[in-house]
Amino acid sequence: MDISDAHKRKWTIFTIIFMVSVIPACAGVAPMEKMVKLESQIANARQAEAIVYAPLELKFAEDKYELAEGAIEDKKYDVARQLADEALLDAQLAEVKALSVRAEKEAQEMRESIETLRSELNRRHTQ
Amino acid sequence: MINVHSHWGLLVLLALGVGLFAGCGGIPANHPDLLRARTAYDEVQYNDWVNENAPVEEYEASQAIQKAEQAESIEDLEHLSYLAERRSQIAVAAAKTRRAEKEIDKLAKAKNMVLLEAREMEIQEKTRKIQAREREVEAARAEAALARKMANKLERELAELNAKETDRGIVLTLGDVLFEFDKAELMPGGFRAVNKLAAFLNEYENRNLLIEGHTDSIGTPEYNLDLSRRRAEAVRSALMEKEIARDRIITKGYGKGYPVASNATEAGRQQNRRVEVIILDEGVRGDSMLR
Repeated sequence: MDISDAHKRKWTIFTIIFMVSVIPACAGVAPMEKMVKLESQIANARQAEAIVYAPLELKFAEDKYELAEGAIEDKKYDVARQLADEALLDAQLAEVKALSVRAEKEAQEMRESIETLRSELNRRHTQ
Repeated sequence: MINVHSHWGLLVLLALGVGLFAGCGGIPANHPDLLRARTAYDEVQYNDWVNENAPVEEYEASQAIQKAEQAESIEDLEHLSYLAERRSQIAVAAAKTRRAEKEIDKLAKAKNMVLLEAREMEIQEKTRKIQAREREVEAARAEAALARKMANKLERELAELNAKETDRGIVLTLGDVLFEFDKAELMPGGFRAVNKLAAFLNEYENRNLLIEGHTDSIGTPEYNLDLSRRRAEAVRSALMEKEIARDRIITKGYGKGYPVASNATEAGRQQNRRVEVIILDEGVRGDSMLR
């Protein structure tokens, strides 16, 4: 065996050890940042009164959040990640849906109030 | 020993099949989750207002549906389709929210306009009322000024009629020239004098009148009594024509009984030929004042 062969072998062994240690680590980290972001988004949705205006979407988000927590405890991190991704969008939808319902209600109320004002004016000044 | 070479073709086909199945053609194109995601994305694409109001969310939805379309396993497909569907729904809801917010802005401005209009009209109304009131005041002032003018005029006319205050009341004398010679008919000048008198009397609406006729000493007592009486009555008739009530007026002829000048001269006799109209004090009736 010459020096280049020994060198090659050292590098092969090093690479194998490296990959064995790094690759499992990617799948093996709990998605804590995602969970924090998810908590925050659920809070936003509640603040927007999603419990009144988008209760279903809010429930999906909260249920999946709990399931994700359970998956993290069971060290099933890929499952947890998927659940967290879905829950995040559920919560975002809950928030924006609540906002849209409320905004459209407000616009309608304003339309009606202007109408009332106008007809009141007409009534008063065509007497 | 198995002849590998003879089964080689089979093996290749098998591998290819497995490869194809596990590769791009393996996901059913009409998986229900994917269909749902596509339907949700249709709503994003179909409505212009979604792109207008939520372009970022629309972009994220289009990225998500593409990823779902390119899923490499059923599990991935289900997961990515779910995410894609949610992103489309988020885009639609976000667009609705912003559209409504824009409208609220517009409506707030419109409401202000209406309120301003209302204020304007109120102000106009108030101004109209003030102007009407000012006109009323003006009119009242004008009326008062006119009344003063009239009163002054009447005072002048009264002076012209030679009104005298006596203890019997205010005495106005209508002279002989106002009557036709030896008759009880009023001349035009007499009517004019009666008109002035009537205008004056309207100032004393609640006063009664005593009209007394007098003559000079020429002619018989009966004749003079009669003429003087008829002249007094002629004045009363003329006053009644001018809307002076009959029951205010009492007439009497005294003939030559109460001269005011000497009957020896024509001038004196003319003075004696007169009709006296007496405006009595309030509450006094003519009968109590007869001579």
